[in-house]
Amino acid sequence: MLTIKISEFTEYTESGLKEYLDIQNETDFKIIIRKECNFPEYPKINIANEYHLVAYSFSLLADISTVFSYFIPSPYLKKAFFCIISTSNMGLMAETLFTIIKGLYFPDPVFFELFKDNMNQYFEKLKNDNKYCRTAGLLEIGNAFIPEPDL
Amino acid sequence: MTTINLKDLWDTEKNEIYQILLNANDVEFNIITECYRSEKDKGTSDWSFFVGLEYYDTLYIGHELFSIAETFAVYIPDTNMLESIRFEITIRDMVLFTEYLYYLLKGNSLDKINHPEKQTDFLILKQQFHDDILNNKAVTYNSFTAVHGILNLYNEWCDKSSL
Repeated sequence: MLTIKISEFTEYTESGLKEYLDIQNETDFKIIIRKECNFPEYPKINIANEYHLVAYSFSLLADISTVFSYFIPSPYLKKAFFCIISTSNMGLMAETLFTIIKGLYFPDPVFFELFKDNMNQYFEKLKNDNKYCRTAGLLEIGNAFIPEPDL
Repeated sequence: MTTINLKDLWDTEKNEIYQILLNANDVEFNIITECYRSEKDKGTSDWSFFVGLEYYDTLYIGHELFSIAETFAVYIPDTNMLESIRFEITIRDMVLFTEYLYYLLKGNSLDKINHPEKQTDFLILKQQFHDDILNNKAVTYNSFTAVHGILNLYNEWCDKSSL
């Protein structure tokens, strides 16, 4: 199994990622996304955003995988998120990883905003199509931490 | 982090469980639940049956552990894998932890002869929990939220099984 810490691949292009994956010759992957926020050190909205973004990122990976397992860390700890996937399609894997890296780590906020828009559309579509979310455990914690609006 | 495999403790008495926890001298525990499926069930209807039963039981175990834990995390393996759901919890009160583990172990075991009363309570409370889930409108981080990943898979399983 090949472990990929997403934050260590921010300098890679999509083709660079593909090249890297091809050289590794693996089909089982552990994908790690580091956790930046924990409650109550960070405000609720940060916790909500982080869980939603990871839920979306892992859902994208689940969609291209034949096997998908995932870890739902406590919102009170800074223990990393991870999922374990199997895929033999390295082209699709590189494309998906690059999408996630761009959305989460590229300094230009345009990429982050686009990633968030796509995330909202993705979850909206699941809801409208009455489909089960593969990362519901993360999504639900994100929802629980959305602050109640001030009245 | 100390690993506790529930499958290894079904017949363990309460004082022994307490001793195991004390000897661990730890506050972080990795609780491995039982995977009811086995290799021989692959491709049979038993596989699907055991998957559903496992989600049903594990949901309740997770809910109970959440209620006593300082922190609570879940690992959910792919349904097609022969791997158990596991919970990572932080807990400092070993007396309380012993009580809960003993309750969960006796309740979920088939030891009806030695502990019929424990299992009856367990089954009633487990059913109560599942009834509560149906009516839950959680907006705060609670046990329903914490075990939602398993609940989601259980609901999906029920849909597929037309339950």
